[in-house]
Amino acid sequence: MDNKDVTILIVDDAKFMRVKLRKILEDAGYTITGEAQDGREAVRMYTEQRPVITTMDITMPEVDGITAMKAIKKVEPNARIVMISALGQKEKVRESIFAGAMDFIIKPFTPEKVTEVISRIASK
Amino acid sequence: MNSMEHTNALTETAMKIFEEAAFALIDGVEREEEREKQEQIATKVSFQGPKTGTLYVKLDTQLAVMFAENMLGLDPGDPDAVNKGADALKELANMICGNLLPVVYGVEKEFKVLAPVEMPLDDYDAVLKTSGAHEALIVVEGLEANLLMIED
Repeated sequence: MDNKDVTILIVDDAKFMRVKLRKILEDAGYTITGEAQDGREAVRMYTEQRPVITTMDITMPEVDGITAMKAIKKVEPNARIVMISALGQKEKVRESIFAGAMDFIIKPFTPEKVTEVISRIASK
Repeated sequence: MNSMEHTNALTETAMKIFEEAAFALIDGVEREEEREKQEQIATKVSFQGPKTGTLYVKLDTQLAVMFAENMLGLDPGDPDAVNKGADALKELANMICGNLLPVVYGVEKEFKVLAPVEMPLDDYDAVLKTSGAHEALIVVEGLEANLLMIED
């Protein structure tokens, strides 16, 4: 699959981080289908857009990333979701993977780390 | 972890985040003697869990803009970076808090980090007077980053 055919939904409550992720991913040739700023919007946008991959911040107001991921998995059990968080604690990583995340990126990240993870998940 | 170790962890974590996330070159942790007054901005991020508390970060505005330029890959002086300095500060504060908690309290402890919010500079100065505050100063290219961490 060419990178341009890999559609990605970015979910993060911080606009700054959405801009940064979009830049990294677009520079690598991926197609961004949209940006959601909370878990509820993420579920709605996922359902509408059905992206190949979703990047999901964990800490967000109201509906957090893990709750949103569980809701998306009910819509599409095979949804490919990468969790992103500044809080790299074992329990959060374990909970995310148990709930169905395909990988976990801890902030701060490099562009190379992000594209490496996305490339690996896109090829699965 | 004793108070000195806690303060060192705050300083080292902030330096790591500034270097790795904002590609900053750290000058040191000593204030320059003849420093001109700078415009500054501040943010705070609270955490909840086995311990509750707040991390406060105050930056020279010029430093926040430089961080935004570096983090977003913008050219120096890009007007977009000027507008995004405060957002860069909030994201960096979030990363510092998220990376610091496992260092101070252990990786097995579970915390919730709340969304960073901007705060008035006067509030930062008031917090500085609180006893038990862990304080760090980091100088980046002649500009200052000030951090405080307080447990409730």
